[in-house]
Amino acid sequence: MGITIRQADIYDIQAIQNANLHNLPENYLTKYYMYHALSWPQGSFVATTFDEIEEWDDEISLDTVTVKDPKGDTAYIKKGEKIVGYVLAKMEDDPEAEDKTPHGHITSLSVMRTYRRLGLAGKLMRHSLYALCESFGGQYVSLHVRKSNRAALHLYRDTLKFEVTTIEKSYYQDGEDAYAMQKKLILDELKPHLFENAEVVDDFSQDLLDDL
Amino acid sequence: MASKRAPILGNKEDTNFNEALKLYDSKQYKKALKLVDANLKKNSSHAASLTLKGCINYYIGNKPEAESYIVKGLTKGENNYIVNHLAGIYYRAVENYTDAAKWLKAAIDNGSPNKQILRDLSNLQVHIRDYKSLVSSRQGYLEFQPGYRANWTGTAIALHLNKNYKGAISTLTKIESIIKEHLQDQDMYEQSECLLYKNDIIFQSGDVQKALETLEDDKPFIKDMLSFLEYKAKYLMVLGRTQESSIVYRQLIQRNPDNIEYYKQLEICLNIFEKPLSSRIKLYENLNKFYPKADPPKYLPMMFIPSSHPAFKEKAQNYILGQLKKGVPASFVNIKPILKNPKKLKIIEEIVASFFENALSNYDPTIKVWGLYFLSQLSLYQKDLATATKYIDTALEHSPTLVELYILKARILKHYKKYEAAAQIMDEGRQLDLQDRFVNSKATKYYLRANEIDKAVDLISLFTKLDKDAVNGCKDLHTMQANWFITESAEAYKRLYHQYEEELASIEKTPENEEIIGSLHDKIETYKGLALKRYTAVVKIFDIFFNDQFDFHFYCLRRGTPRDYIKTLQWEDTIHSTPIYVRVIKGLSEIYLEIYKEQQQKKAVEGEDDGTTVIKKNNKKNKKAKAQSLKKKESLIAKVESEKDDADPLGTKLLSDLVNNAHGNIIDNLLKLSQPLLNEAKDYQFNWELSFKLNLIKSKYVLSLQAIKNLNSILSLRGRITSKIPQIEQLVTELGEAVSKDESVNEAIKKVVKMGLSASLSDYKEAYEPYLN
Repeated sequence: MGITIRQADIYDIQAIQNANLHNLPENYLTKYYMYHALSWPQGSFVATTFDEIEEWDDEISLDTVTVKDPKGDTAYIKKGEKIVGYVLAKMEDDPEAEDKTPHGHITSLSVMRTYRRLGLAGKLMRHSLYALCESFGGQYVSLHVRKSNRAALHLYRDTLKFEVTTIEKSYYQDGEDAYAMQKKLILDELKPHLFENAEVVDDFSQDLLDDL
Repeated sequence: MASKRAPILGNKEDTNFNEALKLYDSKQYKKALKLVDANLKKNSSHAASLTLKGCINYYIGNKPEAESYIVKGLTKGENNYIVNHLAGIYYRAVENYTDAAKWLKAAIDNGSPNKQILRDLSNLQVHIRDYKSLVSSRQGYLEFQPGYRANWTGTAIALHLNKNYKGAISTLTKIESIIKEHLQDQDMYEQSECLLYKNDIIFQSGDVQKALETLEDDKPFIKDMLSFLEYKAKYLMVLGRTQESSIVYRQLIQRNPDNIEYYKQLEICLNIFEKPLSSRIKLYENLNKFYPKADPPKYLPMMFIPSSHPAFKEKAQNYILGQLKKGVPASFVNIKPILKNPKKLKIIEEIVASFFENALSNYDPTIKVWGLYFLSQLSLYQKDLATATKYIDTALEHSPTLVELYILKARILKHYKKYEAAAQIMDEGRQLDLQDRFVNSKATKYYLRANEIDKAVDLISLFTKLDKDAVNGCKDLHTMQANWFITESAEAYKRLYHQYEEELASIEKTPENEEIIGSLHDKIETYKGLALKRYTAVVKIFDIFFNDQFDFHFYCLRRGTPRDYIKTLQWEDTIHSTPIYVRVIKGLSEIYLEIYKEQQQKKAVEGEDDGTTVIKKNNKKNKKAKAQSLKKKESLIAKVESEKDDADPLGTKLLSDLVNNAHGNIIDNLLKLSQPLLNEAKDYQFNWELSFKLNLIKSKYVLSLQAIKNLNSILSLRGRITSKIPQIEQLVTELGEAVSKDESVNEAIKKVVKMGLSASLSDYKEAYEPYLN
């Protein structure tokens, strides 16, 4: 199926953990994903695909439908639905944190290599930023990115307009430095449909079954 | 200090105990133990001291002895609330939640004044899903500490879990009115979540109109506008106010034009199925104007427009060529569901082929590579491996540094069953991008498929944490719950020992071959043990997943996230239906059944003649081979150890316990292992196939019949397919034959089976009638 982007919930976390283990060197236990899902349920999003949809196509006769068990693949959360990307986000909840203004933090973001160039990472991030601002009053959001990860840097700096605040020496386990980045959150500027660059905006007044 | 206080308990022992308890609470276990021992010297049946000694033993690491003291303490002082409380603490520490709940409950019932117990008790009760008892514990704790919203939320949850909607709603309403005046900024998120929780309960109780009204009233306090809109749209739809509902779904689409679910709902609101196809097409053209970057407005029309309609070709062309021109690797995968329709497949094939012949020269040369990549996948999909290879090889010639091409080439080789070659190509791709863990994971997986386990582990270890004294990342992967890797490893070990078993079967059993035979036996045992070890590791990880919820029983009340907490309970209740778990049980059951078969064969041989000599001789040979390979084993252990200081790193004991029925009959064990699937993963064919088989072995014919019925329901798409299904025919025959052959079977059971078959599987009359007349 094409791609669906939606809020993540507890049913997704095993497959999110799977995507994380496949894509990134920083990994977490299931319980940490649960902690995200149960502390900031609005903050995290997934990109999923469906590989079977029957009811949308009347031309396929029932006789040709073969019944199969769900694929025993860790990317699948249920029959036919597979997680191909995720953003895992939280609010700063460290009581020792210096800055007491409410702000969010991106714990992890990744998209399976085979699903890149569809703009999924950017879309996932925008939904997350919007939710952190709307539901939790986040005034800005922060994240870390590996100094060598040019694709990620491009996404955050150029596409999403984050700014580098500092360089944290040897932030990662393997000794690599991180850019610490931040973006100020202003709800009205974050509305996801603004980034559609559409010529017409739905004002909910028209009949969609007629010519606009 | 303590001596100044009036003794809570009467005699000297009790005073000593009281002192010991305080030391225990402050983790001074050694000192506490001294006092307790002194007590027990004087009075060996001092119940509280016995129980405390059990707890202390547990915490100082003397775990095996701990429980016996707890049990002794309980027999001497079953009605002593201090004894009860300590026993509860002990059982919770050893994760025996049922007994922990039982004894904490006893502590309350026996008059403990410590109301904190109620909190711990309710966490345990919800953990073991004793929802009925949960209500009074939560209510009791609320009466004790009514000043915290968490305790009100907790009581409401308990009532809700018992489907007492009215009680839950009134509890939530009451605290809302109490707290209204006192809400601070930092409470507003919790307030919003609790209001939405209450709203959902009102909806569940069936009063949709009330839910809608309350939702609108509470709107100023709601911070989760996504939920607000989703609830509102749903309520309006249920109330039949589809015009208004359609507007809310449009608002939701505006918030997130990439969520396919909203489009489906919008179609229902607009009653689109009753309207001409042209309206449906128009709908999506309009939505596409609003959301030109979203996928569903472009994708869905390709699903519903029939292949014969000219618009199909136009939409498909725009979608596919659009992605191809952008070099989207997933352009083929995205349209895969459409290809199930053979006529649409044909049209898509033509679109891409004609783009290739006519328009390609106008574009950047890399577009050609993505086109070849697409065509290769299309051929692979149609199982034309030769053409798939031709396309991918041309692409690789053109762009030898594009990792995606290697991934596809490897997949094609996998379909040729050339697993080693596939792994090598994947590894070549990996070397082009050493920083990318995705292609590293792929290469790891392909080496495992080629049974090159060492190589696989070495590769994946480039991205794992290296534990102290570890030679590779195997332990870290277990710690990090990398189920995909552990399962693939299990399957690789299984293939390996099957290979060696085949080899063994083809060797002549002569004295010259004794050594080879011995070493083969040894290899089979090692890899079978390791396969069991890996599969079992995943089962254990799922036990962890289940217990992970424990801390959240209290946390979520305080945090104020009851909606997602309830969802979490439901998720945990069906966690064994996770696809990977079913795959693991399937793999394990195959090994169990192999062992069972060997047990039966051995029994048959032993029964026929004195037979034992053959087996003894084999054992002797095995022993010799074992001694020789002890050294080898040590280095093997270092490589495969899955946790530190594992007593059974190779799964040797796991295997021998199964072979010797050390924990009871192997079939009973397998039944127990697969039971959660029958409750939680009812839609899987595999579960019922296994249930059929196991119950047939156990001569439980009625349960076998039940399994066939369930399987038939799944395979016939719940009755939508009416033709006969060969697999069902086969199982019905097997059942009939087994019942008729079994002389010990009770006539009544026979009758039940026969009636069951004719009642729900009468189409298969010819299969069972010869046996059951």
